[in-house]
Amino acid sequence: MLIEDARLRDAVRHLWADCLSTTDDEPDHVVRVEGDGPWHVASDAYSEEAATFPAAVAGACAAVNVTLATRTPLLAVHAAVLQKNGTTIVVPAESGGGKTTLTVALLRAGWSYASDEAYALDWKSALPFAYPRPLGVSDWTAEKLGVSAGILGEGERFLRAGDLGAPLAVRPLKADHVVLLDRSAPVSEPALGNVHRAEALEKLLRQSFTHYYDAEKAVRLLADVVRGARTWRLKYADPLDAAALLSTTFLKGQILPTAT
Amino acid sequence: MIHPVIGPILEAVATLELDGRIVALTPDRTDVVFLNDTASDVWRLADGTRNLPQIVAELAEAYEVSHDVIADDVRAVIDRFVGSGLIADPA
Repeated sequence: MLIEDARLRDAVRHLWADCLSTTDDEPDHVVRVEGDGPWHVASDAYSEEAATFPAAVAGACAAVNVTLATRTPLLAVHAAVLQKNGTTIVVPAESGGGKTTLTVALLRAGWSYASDEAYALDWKSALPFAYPRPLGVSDWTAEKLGVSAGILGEGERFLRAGDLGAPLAVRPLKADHVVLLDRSAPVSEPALGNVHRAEALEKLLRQSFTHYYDAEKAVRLLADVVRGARTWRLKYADPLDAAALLSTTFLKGQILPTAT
Repeated sequence: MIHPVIGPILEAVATLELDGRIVALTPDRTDVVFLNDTASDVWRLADGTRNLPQIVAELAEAYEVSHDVIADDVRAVIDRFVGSGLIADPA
């Protein structure tokens, strides 16, 4: 990222610190932000004029995210990825499907952060990669979950998991559980039930944004993910209740019926 | 009336099985077809050795239901296979 405005540069570098490269290699893609108000945000996949500082922060974050999403060499799936005590859960869902809110609730419950956006696999080795981008927490979620940290945007705030006191997940990130979110009907209590692995595969595939590079390979890689995991459907209304149920079920050995 | 055999699955179709359910990629790899349990059973019988009444009869016996209960569903599943380019049109 090349950002002229020092204040904006400091803010954006803080937010993306968990994703910074540890090598001196030339980057494949560059996000540039010119000006100090208004700001022009651009990459080879994104362009935006930002009139306010919060909009510039949001624009810079969006530019990095869109550039990565459209240019990544990995098989990437829209999903939240969290880990605790060596157990990794993958929650595939569309944008607006509740990934970030559930992620924050799980971080509040002591889980480690890998991503609220993508579960990414190397096409050849199938090794999973973390993408700990900054969280874009909506005002509703912030109020519901008591989040006061972060850089205020318009209708949302941006922060790192570390700003909530949550650690980053450590590799390996092999999925132990794949959880499909279901908020289609109101429920008074969250419920977690088995779901067929084929349904979980379909969800992962539908949420992939790079599967078209090699559809057959994508299906086989993601099939291996669900073969190595238990697969679930989570019905819930309250994210805190949902996070508590996931923690109880996955971390305390609660016995549930075998997947069918 | 002579009934043509159903199938076999075209060679260019790629498949895998997950806990008994078939996942199939169309020959041009532009679509992935997820079959439920019943459609997966039809898939396994659509091997080019059976016609529609024979497939219906085998499934009716396996499910312990009458032919009439499942005949339309089996026909619809086979139509879907044909429409997705997974098997040749038996007509």
